[in-house]
Amino acid sequence: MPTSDFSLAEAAPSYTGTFGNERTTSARSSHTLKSWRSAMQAGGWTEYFGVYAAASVTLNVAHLPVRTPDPAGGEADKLPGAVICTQQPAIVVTFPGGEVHKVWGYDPGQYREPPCASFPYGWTTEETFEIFKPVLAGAAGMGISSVVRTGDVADIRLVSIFPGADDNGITIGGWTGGTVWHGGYNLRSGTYRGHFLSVSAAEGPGRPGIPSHSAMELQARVHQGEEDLFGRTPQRFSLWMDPAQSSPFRWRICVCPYQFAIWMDGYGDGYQMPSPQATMVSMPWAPEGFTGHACFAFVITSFIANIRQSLAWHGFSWFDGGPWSRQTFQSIIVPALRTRADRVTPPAVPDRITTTQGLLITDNAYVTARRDPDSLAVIDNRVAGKLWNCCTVSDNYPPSTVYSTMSGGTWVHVSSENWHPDYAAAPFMRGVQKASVWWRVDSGLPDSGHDASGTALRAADSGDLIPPEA
Amino acid sequence: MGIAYSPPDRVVHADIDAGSSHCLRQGLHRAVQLAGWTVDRAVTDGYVYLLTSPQDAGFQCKVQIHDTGRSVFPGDGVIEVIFMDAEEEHLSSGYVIRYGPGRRLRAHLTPCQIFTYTAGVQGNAVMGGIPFIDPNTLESTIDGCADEDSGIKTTRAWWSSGDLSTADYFWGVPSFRTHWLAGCSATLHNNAFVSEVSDGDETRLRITIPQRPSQFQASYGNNNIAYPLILRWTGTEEPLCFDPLLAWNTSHPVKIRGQIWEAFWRTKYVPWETPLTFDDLAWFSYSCGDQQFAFGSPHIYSTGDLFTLYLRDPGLTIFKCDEEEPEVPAESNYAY
Repeated sequence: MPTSDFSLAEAAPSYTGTFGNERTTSARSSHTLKSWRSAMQAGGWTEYFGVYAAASVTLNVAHLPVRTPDPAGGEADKLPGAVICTQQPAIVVTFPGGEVHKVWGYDPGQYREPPCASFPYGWTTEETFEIFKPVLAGAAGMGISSVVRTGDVADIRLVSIFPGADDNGITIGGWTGGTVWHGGYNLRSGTYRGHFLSVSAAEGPGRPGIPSHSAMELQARVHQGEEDLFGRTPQRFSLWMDPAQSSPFRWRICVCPYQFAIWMDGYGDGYQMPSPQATMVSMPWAPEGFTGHACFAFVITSFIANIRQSLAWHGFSWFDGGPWSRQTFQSIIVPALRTRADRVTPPAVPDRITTTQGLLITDNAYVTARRDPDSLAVIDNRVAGKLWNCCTVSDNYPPSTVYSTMSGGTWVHVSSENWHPDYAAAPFMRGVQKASVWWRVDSGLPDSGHDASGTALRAADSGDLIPPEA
Repeated sequence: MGIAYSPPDRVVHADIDAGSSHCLRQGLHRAVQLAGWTVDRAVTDGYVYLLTSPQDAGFQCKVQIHDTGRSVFPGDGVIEVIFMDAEEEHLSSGYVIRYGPGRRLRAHLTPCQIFTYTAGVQGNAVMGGIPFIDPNTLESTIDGCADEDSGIKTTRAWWSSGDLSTADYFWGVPSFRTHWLAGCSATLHNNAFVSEVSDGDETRLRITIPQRPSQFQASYGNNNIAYPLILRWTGTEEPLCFDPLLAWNTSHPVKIRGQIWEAFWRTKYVPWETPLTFDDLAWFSYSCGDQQFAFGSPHIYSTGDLFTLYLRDPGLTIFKCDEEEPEVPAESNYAY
């Protein structure tokens, strides 16, 4: 069993970048999801399969119109079809970029064929319905996977012809209505200790009750071998996307083959509360030969994941073949070095730990979790692994701190415990030790490897007490 | 860095006859010299020893071990152990070690460090010396990127602690025999000297431990929010091992000054003097925290679950009073 010599659990490539909510700026595409996919692939994840977008629309077949017999004079006695094109269409498909497809239905017993996209009514409502279905699918550029009838009510399931995010956001109006969602991508992690993660990302309607707000919906599964592909209940979580053009979101992402994290630079998790804005998914490192568990994975998520402002994160954990845990606050905790003994240790302002020369201390970023999926008790936490490419540093930083250089590498600021701009004024928890989690990256870096203040952290391994950088 | 090892032939684990002041002082006198301490001078009923760090011969301190004739306990006497810098400018209070009929004392010694104890129980715990120093501070390395006193060079440093002091009759305080906080201590870094007695929470000498960075109590068990993290591996309950970094300062926050020699600590409760093989060497647990039950749960946890200090055991050397040479058993003796 090793001592606390700091050793990085390295997994390459380790990538960081940003991606934004630009879905509404481009017709029939979702740049957000595609950017996410690109970032994940830069961090060593591979595309597993595409996720098809779909929509369910409902209409009452009994209410559909039917045609009338042709007039005695035939076509000459019918009204001009152009009149139809000025009426309410039967189908209105609006694409995210603003393109609109309209299709009109008409009574061929009364009107000549309209000069616009149209379809004729049938002799019965059922016949009209049969004519309507493929026209609807064609207008949306999608297929019909199923039609479920409950008496006169029909639920039509439209599914994209191609997997991916391109059809997300298509809205359907007219005789029926609905929005196409949930198209996206599924990526898989590298295989570690016989397991791999698969994470799908799609676009969904977002916050309940506010359908105009879309969300990046994610689902994480743990797989033990290919045969278990769908054998485990996924963990679902989401990141809220503000569709407003005026304030497109910009997320930071860090990725390596077994782990990724997303947040918004400059903000805590509560920036848009109660809408989740940050997440982390990981299948952490374990010592070689370790037998305590075969695989441990966690998903940090919540309306406030707590990942940016604390080292005690909200989320779900998973051990071996068991279920995902209950979501409990502060259930996944990264320990940090302490010298503060108690809430009454003076001074009240949190301390950072330094050496005589002001060197900060870096240490292993162990992650602890509760194996009992129903446990609410911190006392049940045990060490379950070490975060990939991460370390703890014995100081905390504002959310605006993005990068720093340390120990010969460039690191991204993931999380800080209870940072406040003014400890004299802000309410804060006493007995807090300053600590933060950093992620070392080797690609996707900006020109400057320093944080906003232009300073570099100097850190000492807790054992090595390494010399300061030149 | 891992463990700060001393020259192996200078690590002594002594079992000393403490039946009388003479026997105790004689046993300590022989044991500390085996570890490489040199006699600076004799004092009344004792000696002042000079300790030199194997890391850098420029780091020295002195320890005075003598009998003042004072008695703290009825029927038993005490000797005093006083730590000081080589210049004798700053002196710790006199930490006491008890002697009396039938008593024995254990002492773990390196060229610049001492830990004493009575096997299996609390008390007679005196410890200190020159730590392994942060190598960065051995030379001045002013760094323009640093945001504070990067130019500080450590010129002298020593620490000390005891669980009973005759100077103020304050006993039962935490020491590294029982805790990661030293209640009765004296430390020196360069010219900054602190000597204090405290009941624990505000002490300025401590060993760093990893825990929840959020609020946390040293003596947990009386507050739900104070539950500690038990840093053992899932499933196997295998503890983590850490370097015993020593931190002190004249005021909070304390700073890491160095590391205890021939030691590591790990996150699992065991009774005092439990043997362990680690790094292919023999070790024994020096510290032991009381076990406690968590409220409303069957879990048992202890200060020892946070912090159990292990010292390397080169094998007990038994010092009998007035014998020419100490008795060295063939194997380490753990007949407690």
